[in-house]
Amino acid sequence: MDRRRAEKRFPILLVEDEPVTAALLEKTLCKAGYAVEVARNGKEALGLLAETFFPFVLTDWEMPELGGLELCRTIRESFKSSYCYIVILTGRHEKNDIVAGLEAGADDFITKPPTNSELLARINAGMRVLELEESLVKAREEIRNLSTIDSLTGCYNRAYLDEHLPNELERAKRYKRDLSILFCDFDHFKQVNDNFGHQVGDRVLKDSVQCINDTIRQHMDWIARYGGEEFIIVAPETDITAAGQMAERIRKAICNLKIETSSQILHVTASFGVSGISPSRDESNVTPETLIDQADKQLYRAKMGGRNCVFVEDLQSPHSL
Amino acid sequence: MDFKKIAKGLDLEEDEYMDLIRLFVETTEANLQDLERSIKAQDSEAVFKMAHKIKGAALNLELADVASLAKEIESKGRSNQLTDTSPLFGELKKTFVKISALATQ
Repeated sequence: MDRRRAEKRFPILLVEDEPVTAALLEKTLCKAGYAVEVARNGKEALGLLAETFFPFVLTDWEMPELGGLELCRTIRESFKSSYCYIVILTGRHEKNDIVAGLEAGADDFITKPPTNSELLARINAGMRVLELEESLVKAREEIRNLSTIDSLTGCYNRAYLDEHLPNELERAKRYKRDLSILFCDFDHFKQVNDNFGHQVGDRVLKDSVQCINDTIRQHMDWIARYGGEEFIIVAPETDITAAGQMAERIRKAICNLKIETSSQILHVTASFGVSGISPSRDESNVTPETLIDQADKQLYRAKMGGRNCVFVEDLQSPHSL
Repeated sequence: MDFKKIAKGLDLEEDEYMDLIRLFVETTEANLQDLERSIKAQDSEAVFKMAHKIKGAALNLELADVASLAKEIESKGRSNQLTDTSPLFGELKKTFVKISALATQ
C-alpha cells in the first residue's frame, strides 16, 4: 500500500489543550507526512469541523469548554455521510474510561504519553479503515450506476426512467411548466443487425446516443433506453414546438452519422414521436403512461409517414384519451 | 539531563526539541504559579488539575524528575491530602529553574 497517499488524503484534526503535548504531537505527525490542524478544545474542534470535514480526529480527554467524550458523541451524532475515525488520547488507563470512550464513539485509544512508533502505528490503522470506507463508497457508486445506467450506451436505463419520469411530470404539473418527451426509434434496426451483425448494431446505438447527448442540453434534458432500439428523451421546461425542433435536430444529426463497418460506411435513420404537457391546458389526467402512449402514437404516425421524420402531438386539440 | 539524547529518542532534531523545551518553560511557569496558589488555598481539585498538566507536559519531553515530582503532588491532590505538599513543590520549582536555565543558554 502506498502510505503517502493516505497521509495526504486524510487530514488529521488534533484536539489538545495542553500546549507542549499539542506541539509535540503536531510535530511528530507532520514529520510523518500528515496534514495536521490543531484545536485547543472540543468547542473549537466542532467549529473547525463545521467548516471543513476532517476524516481523522485525535483528541484529548480532559479539556476546557468541551471534553473528548462529549466531542466524540457530538461527532457521531452529527456527521453521518462520511466516516470520522476518532482516537482518544488520555492519561487515564482505567478500563471504565476506556469503555466509556469506545461507547461514546471512539474507534481507538492511546494512553499518554505515546511512543512515536505506537502513535504512528495506531494512526496508520485508522488510515486503513478510512481507505476501506473510501473503496466501499466508490463501490456503492458503481453499483448505483449499474442499476440505473444502460451499460451499452451509457444513457439511463428503463428502471431509471420508470423512477424519474413520474417525478418530472409531477413537478411540471404542480408548477404549471412545460414538459415534453421525444420517443426515438431506429428505422429498420432488425435489418441492421441481420445484415451487419449485432456488434455493428451495438455500435449504431452507442454512437447515436453519443450524438444525441451532444445535441441535447447538458444537465437539463436526459435520455433513457426504453427498449432494444427505443429511446425516450425527457425535455423539461420545453414546450411542444421547441421539442419538435429538438427532435428534428437530432433526426438530422443521426442521418449524418457515419458508422464504419468492414465493408462500407453505414448510415442509419430514426423516427420520432413527440408528446408533452402545457401550462395552458388541464393536464390533471396525464400520467407517465399516457404521456409515453401519446408519444408512441406520434411515433407510429412517423413510421407510417415514411420513417426518418418527426411527428408532434397537437396540443391545440382536446385530449384524445 | 541530556537533551541531545532525549531528542534523538523522540525522533527530533536537537533544535526542534529545544523549541519544545522553551514552550514547556513558558507554559509551566504560569502553571507553577497557579499550583502554588492552589496549595496555599488548600484547593485539592485545583492542585490535582495543575499538577496533572505539568506532569503531562513533562512526560512528553521525558523530563523524568519534573514528571515524578508533579505526579506525587497530583496524587496528594487526588486523595485530598495536601499535607507536606509545600516541600514537594519546592523541589519541583528548583528542578524547573534548572531546566529553564538550560533552555535559555
